[in-house]
Amino acid sequence: MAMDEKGSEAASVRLGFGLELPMIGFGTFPLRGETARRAVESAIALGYRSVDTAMRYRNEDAVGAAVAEARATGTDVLVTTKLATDQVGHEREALLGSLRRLRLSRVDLWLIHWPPGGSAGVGSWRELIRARDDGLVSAIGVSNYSIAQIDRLIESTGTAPDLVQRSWGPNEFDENYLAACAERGIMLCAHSPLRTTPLDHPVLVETARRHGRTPAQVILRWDLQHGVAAVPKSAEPARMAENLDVFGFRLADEEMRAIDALAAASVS
Amino acid sequence: MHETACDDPFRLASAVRTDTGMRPSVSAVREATRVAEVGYTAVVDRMTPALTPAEIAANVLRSVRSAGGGPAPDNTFPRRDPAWHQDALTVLGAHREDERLAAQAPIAFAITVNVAGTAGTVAATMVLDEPSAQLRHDAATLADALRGVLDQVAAGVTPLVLESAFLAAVERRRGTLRRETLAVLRLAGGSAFETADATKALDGTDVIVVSATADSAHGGIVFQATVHVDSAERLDGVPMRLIELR
Repeated sequence: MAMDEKGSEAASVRLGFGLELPMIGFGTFPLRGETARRAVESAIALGYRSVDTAMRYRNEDAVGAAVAEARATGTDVLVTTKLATDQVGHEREALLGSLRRLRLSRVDLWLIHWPPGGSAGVGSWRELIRARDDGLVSAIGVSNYSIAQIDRLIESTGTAPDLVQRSWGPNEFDENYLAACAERGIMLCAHSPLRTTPLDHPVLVETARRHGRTPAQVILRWDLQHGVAAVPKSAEPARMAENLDVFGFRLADEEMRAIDALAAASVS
Repeated sequence: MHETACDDPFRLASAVRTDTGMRPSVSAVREATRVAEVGYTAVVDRMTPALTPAEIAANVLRSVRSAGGGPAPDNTFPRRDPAWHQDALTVLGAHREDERLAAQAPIAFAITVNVAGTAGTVAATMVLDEPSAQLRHDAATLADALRGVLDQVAAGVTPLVLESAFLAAVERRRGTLRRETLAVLRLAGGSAFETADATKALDGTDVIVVSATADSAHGGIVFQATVHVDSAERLDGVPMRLIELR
């Protein structure tokens, strides 16, 4: 497991079945086509070793092309993709389509993208488990799920997700959700980590100034120190590099608490 | 929001007019269709039994706008009675804006958008609970009939031929389907989808929308595809089958 020199947080975390997940991955929504391929290539060149896509994003082919090129030169990149909600009952067919577009024989991490119809989607979850048992995916999880929906999966199958992905930023901080994931041994991963909290919020700006960083880096560092992985997206190489460069500083406890408090402040 | 009053389902004279001027390029239609699909995902991905049509329409509008589009000026597609319309969303059947949709009944809906003067549309049918065998059969019948039609789309073929093939295909496996309709729309001058002349052969450069609707014993069903005639490429990726969200 790679370790961070100054911050002491791990740069990656081990999920079930030995999968080593980088704590910072590259998000690809809503990039498509050549723009997506070039962005993923740039991200990999800058050091990203995890790429997040989804059937829904319509960019699996572009992601697959970039990842295949990297793997051809000996650079291994972890790939996450997601089952579209409208594929209930067609999960295996959907997975095989994703594998073909991604040019992979196995997806590293496969998630249910949204709770189908607001249900837990137990039938689909059984198919994810079966895909893992069949060696077509390494780890499985869900996205945009409540804890109640996750518990329904666990009660029905005895199998907890390895990871849950959800929109997560300071404005959405939920201590109970984070604790519930930890209790169940589920890794939390933030999608859209930089979208839901104004980057010009004084708390973020001041914290960034103290550390000689940007507010975006402060948010990603805050995620890391909470043990939350993140998949920020950018099409700009400079921004990609910035988002990955979050292992060389550490937020103080009071800074963490001040950022945690943004959620309550945003509600009131 | 209003309901249509279409007394002749075969009339379905849907002209989703969005602008006047030059016929838009295939790439412009592709983009408009992509934005319509964003609206589709806003329905399907966020759907729960607690939502009302008005709430769904609001989700759709927000997503469509964030993707760079807006509702088409004529948003009453597909024209079928009864139907419920608001902004970019049409839901087949008689619905009230504040009434939750029944979980066991099919929810047949269309999204119609305008992106920089070009219309785009997608349609689908979903159900929030396990459907009956009859509903599955009826949906499969309509979807298979539409697929058969799409296989025949080519330059030189008339919409009348396509409609005949469609009606014959439904008739072979009718189940409880009734009032089945095939609408063939094509991009006309003025950046609009207009009902194609039934007897005029399709041109290879046409982009057409082929929309199949019918009533089943359980409610309305719609499947649809946007196709570039020359390449036979389908520009939208919405599943042409009953979507089961459960």
